[in-house]
Amino acid sequence: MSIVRRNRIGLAALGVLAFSALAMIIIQPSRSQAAPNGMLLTGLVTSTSGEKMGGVVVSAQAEGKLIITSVYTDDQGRYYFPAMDAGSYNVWAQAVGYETGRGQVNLNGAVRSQNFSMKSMPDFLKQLSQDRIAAALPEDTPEHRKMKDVFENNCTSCHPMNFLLQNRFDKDGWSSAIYLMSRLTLPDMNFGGVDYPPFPAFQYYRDELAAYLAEMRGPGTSPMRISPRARPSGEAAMAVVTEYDIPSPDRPDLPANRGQDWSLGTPSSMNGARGIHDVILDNFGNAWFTQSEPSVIRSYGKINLKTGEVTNYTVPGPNGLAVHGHAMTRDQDGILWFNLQPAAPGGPGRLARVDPATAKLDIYTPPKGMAGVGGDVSADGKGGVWAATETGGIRFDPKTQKFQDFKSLTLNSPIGMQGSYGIAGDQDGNGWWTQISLDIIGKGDSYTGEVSEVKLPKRASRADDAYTAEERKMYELAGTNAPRFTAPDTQAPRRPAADGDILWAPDYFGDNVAKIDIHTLKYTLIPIPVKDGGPYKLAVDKNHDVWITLVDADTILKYDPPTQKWTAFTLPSIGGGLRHLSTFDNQGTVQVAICETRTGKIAVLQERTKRELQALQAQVQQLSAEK
Amino acid sequence: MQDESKSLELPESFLRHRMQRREILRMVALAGTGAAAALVFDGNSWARPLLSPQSGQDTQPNVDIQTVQIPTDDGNISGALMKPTGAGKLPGLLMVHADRGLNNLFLGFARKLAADGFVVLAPDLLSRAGGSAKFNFAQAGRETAQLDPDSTVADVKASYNSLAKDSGVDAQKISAVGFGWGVWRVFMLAQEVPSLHRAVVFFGTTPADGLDKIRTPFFEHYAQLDFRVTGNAIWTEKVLGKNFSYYVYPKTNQQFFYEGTPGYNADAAALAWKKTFEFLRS
Repeated sequence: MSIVRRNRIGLAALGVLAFSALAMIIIQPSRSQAAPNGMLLTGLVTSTSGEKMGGVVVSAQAEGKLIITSVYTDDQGRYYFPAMDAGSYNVWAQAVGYETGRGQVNLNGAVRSQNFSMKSMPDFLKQLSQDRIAAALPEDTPEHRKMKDVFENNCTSCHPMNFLLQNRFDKDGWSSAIYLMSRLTLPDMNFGGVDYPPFPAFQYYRDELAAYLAEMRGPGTSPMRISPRARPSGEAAMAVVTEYDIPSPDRPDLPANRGQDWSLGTPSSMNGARGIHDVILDNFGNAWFTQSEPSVIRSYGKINLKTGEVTNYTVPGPNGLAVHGHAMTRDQDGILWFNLQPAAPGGPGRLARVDPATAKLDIYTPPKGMAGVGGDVSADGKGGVWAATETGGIRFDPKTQKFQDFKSLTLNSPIGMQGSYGIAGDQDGNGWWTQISLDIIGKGDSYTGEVSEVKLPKRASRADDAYTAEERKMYELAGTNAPRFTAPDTQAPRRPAADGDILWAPDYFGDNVAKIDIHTLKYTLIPIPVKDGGPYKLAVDKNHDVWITLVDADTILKYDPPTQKWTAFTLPSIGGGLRHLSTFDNQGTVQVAICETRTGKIAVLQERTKRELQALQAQVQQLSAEK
Repeated sequence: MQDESKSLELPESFLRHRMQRREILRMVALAGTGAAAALVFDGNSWARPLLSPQSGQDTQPNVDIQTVQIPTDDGNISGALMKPTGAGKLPGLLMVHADRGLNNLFLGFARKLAADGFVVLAPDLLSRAGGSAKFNFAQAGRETAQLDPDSTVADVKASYNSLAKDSGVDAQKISAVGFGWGVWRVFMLAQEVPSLHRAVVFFGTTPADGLDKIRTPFFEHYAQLDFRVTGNAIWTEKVLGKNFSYYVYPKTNQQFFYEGTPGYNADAAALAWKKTFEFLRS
């Protein structure tokens, strides 16, 4: 057990604003006929020409609060917030291609209405997420297809396309940027100078890529054909998304751009803005999250979903820093498990356990000779907890407090990241780990100790016919330093999840989901409906629906296996850099918690049924009539 | 070039192989403190681990080793000058060390090259920081990182000019060999000295610009598992064309060339030496 310090920051920093809001609430008369549990906010969204606009995201934030609630207009342009606390709210409406509609509402009556008239704008590139930028880049010639591929392969591991292309530069400007990027050190990402070898593909394509980017986003006319994605409709427009700001523990002013104002473009994750990574809901109304970047204060934390109060937990580490982690999971008993850095440099990564009822922390260290705990953890159906390692997977039995080590069958490949990336435990006590750059999914049987593996097929690049033998040789010699961490034709399975007899793995570059039978190891690849978004983390809810984050599309997908139906939920913030998501059964209702790493937020999405919305609509009509 | 060398008698402790190699190097006095020294090694087996890292070279001829002061635009830097014993003009070879300075490893390489019939000058590019002998392995790495890149190129060029003035050197056949950190500097030298005869470089960084000025044939050794370095072979070849050739040593990292490291591969290292000599003699 390590020493843990707990720090509360809560809303103290916003005390003045909170006081103002409180004063407003006190002096406003309240209505006795308020909706159950709060006040209702509704309205109509139209274009300036009077057209009713469906799928517009409408967000409300109580003054002085760090919580934003968002809903979407239906096909009649109407929106309905769930019951909210009384108070003064900033309300805004956003749709790609339109200026932000803004309003302020005092929720001091049973129901309030705020309508918006949306004005279109000619240049809305800054409002787009990566998938739409990718769709806008032309594929009319082999050269365009190849350079689009090169751009995606070499630049989007660290930056989404919408961030990269938000500004225009001439060829020299782009060339300078590429040169800088080519010389970054790993893993520190500092400028390495003349002596640091460039990423080979950056060096090889520097001139060609600079010319391509100047053609796409330079002084002249761009061949990009920009179009917004279809606005949410149907089920996707019925959800409620609540976003919670998780201020940086060391720099609470960051990130300055939290993605909720689309006119600012997509945020940067630099300067300590990024930090939170995985999120799990508990049975007590909290979301627990990991911290994946260095911090003096935070190793992990939790936020009270009702009040927004954040509690930071500090596990002291070397050099005055808190140790940090990456992955978090919840076992069948509601216990949280996550990884933590080694106690000392060079030591093994550790497994941490927290009982959310008591916040008691226990830390377990793999014995000497075994691999350390890596960047993903997952509970299996037999009470074990799996963790990805540098050499495969490791299973911890909480009863015996013993670790069991599993080695990948294919490990020392001359190319590719050797360690495991993601891991999932299944119902039978097996562990499944992804070898991201080798397109291999390993399986460890905790009963027999045997290891087997599934090898996924290579994916077809959009520019397979455009690459020369020389270019292929360059990629071969460059190995993992593409620098996409993988070769251009890899699927790149990332963080999987198991449900019943199925192991689901999202293929980050393949834009598909691998569905694997845990007994026969037979697989199928199911294409996802959004391209170039980056499927990252997969979770399965109590209804066996499959949920996936798309890192750079500001979207989470839901897949219903029996009907093979996909639903795409667009989140209210742009540039969130979505990473982890988890599902939670909240008294029969599925809640999906999502970590927005780039904007420093946790989002909780809850679907609403048509019946629930109709009831809310009826309630609004009734209360409005009573006014 | 200022030859301030004189013979130095080896101490008893050295002969009994009890001294640390770093202490020996300090005795070699490449720090340029004024007590410049020359050692004459006769090929005795006790000396080979120090100055001849590649085993199985029992028939190497004697090599005269001198510490020299190399004039630059703003003073002198130290260097090791190694000449095969005997007379006559010989091809010159400038050897540029890696980022840990001119340590015993590279002195051994220089001697091996000299033993093959080259007049080898190995400048100590840490001279401006006090000299390689002043630093341990880790310190040397930090110190080289602090050096101004352009200044080191100027020092390499000054070393080339010194070697060209040596009466025992065929000025038309001066080549260069560079390792790691020194590779970029050899490429930069070739940009400034088109008459550089040949260049052999081991796992280093190619300059991002200016390669079109190079007329010198280059040969580069790459280790397959050093992806970030090795992946640049294709671009370098594309730009330099017929003036660039390379070889990738399968399933190796850079350590394959350095005896005593975990990744040392005697067969690969021997092949690298063979290719080096063949290219320099071509």
